[in-house]
Amino acid sequence: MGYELRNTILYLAFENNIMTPKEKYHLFRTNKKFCVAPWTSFQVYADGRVATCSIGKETLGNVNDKSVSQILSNNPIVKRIKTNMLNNVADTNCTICDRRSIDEDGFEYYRDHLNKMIEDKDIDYNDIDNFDLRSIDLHWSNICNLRCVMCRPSQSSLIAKDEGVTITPVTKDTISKITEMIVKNQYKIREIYLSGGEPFYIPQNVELLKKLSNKDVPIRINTNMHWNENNRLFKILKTFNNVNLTMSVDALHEKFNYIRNGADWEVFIKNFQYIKKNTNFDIRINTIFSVMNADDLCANIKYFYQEQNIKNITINVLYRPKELSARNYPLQKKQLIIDQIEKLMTQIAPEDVNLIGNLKNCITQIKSDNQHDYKDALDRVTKKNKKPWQTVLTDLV
Amino acid sequence: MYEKILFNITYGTECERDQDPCAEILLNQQIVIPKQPIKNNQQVEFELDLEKDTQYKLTINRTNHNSKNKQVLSIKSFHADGIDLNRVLDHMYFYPQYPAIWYKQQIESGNELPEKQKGWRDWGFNGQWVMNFETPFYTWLLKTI
Repeated sequence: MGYELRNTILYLAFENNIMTPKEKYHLFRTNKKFCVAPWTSFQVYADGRVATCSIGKETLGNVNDKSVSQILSNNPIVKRIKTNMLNNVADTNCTICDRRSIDEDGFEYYRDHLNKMIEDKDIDYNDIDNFDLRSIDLHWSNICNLRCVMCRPSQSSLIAKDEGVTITPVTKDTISKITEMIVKNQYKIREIYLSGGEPFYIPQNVELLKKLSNKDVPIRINTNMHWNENNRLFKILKTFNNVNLTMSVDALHEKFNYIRNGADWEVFIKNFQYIKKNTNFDIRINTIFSVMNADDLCANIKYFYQEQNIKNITINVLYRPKELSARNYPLQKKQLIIDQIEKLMTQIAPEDVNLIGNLKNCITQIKSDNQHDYKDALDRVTKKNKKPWQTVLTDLV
Repeated sequence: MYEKILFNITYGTECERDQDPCAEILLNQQIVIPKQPIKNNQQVEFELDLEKDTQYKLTINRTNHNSKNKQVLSIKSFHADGIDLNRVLDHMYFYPQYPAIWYKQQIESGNELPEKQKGWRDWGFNGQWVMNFETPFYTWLLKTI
């Protein structure tokens, strides 16, 4: 059969598909560098910078200077990232996803999360100019009610104020345009991810959700849970059918209050129980593993996994500030932490592969060589806390 | 034809008394590989011509177990166009044909025997292993594994 005739037949056979099913299969299952994000998703930061996702290292542009479509559709950085991905080549934008420390079946990294959401959809990945919005990550304000000790001005307005840092906010006009874009695509979007700042205090989140008529659109929200039932966003969220609340909690009781500076464990628990009892929200626990909570990690996970029956738990390893990385934990006490985590892993159901993978990550991290002294860093990041860190993080003294 | 997919199966066997298990492969009741005795590590390769948007049933008929001697037929590996389908096997069913007398004894003893077993790769009983799939094959594969 001649080459042209064969191609014509293939074209006719697959005229309803943008890629052939075989090409698409290999893209999603064989290609180890492919991610849907540059074709289908983007993240907006509080100062208007745009990235492919929360993992993406490069700034693609700023929505205060250019439109989203200008940033995403005809951008040499985006074209480079896409081309590399299609060729199964690691791109510098994606080193964190490429450097995944766990390479086991079933362990879901952020790229897997995004890919899985839309792998059943026909999107023209061969076209490196194509952009077809399917998910969005909105960190579009740093308004926050807490000063978490590992946070930074771009994600906490209180820290920005303390440090005298001015974040040029996303303009109202740009917020309107992004909102319009989401509203226009709301029936094909697979995830709206709201982070911050504290999303429950960010006014544009309320305005966005008010405009959405698709009550089934999946919404994922990171929250510190310090708001009450009269919160405007909460009231609107209750009208949506697919809400995932990702609750940030790194330790229990006093240490929780200390790490999430300004938080109150009693308020957290009260709201946690309220959500469990009064909503159909999915609950996920998100823990940041650092030198500050290394010896509390297991108690924290056990509390939510065993006592509160929350199986969806993510543990992210803290890399910044680097001094607070768990690898810098006191050398003589590291083995104790490793033993605790290994024991905990035996109590996790085998199907909870993500949690097991996350715990393995923690062991890898704490086993790494100590590189920095955390004491000066703790002095610095806790200067707004009411108590010196030595009184709460006693294992680090 | 819409799609051509090349399948490759490697069998394993465990036999007493030199009586090999037999296998026959069918696609929607059409014989693809005729019934034949199977030796340990034997490979079988066949190409399927598939129509568009069609449901298919790939069946392996496992026979020649006389219920007296130990005899196991296994799928050691299963590939399509070079892709390892090991995880697909987890989703497929084997429908055992239990020896009639033994089956009656088991039921009378209160032992319930399943009509089908998910994920079985090692078949002691005669029976049918079935893989239901649809075209486009690769779209189905993406959904399945």
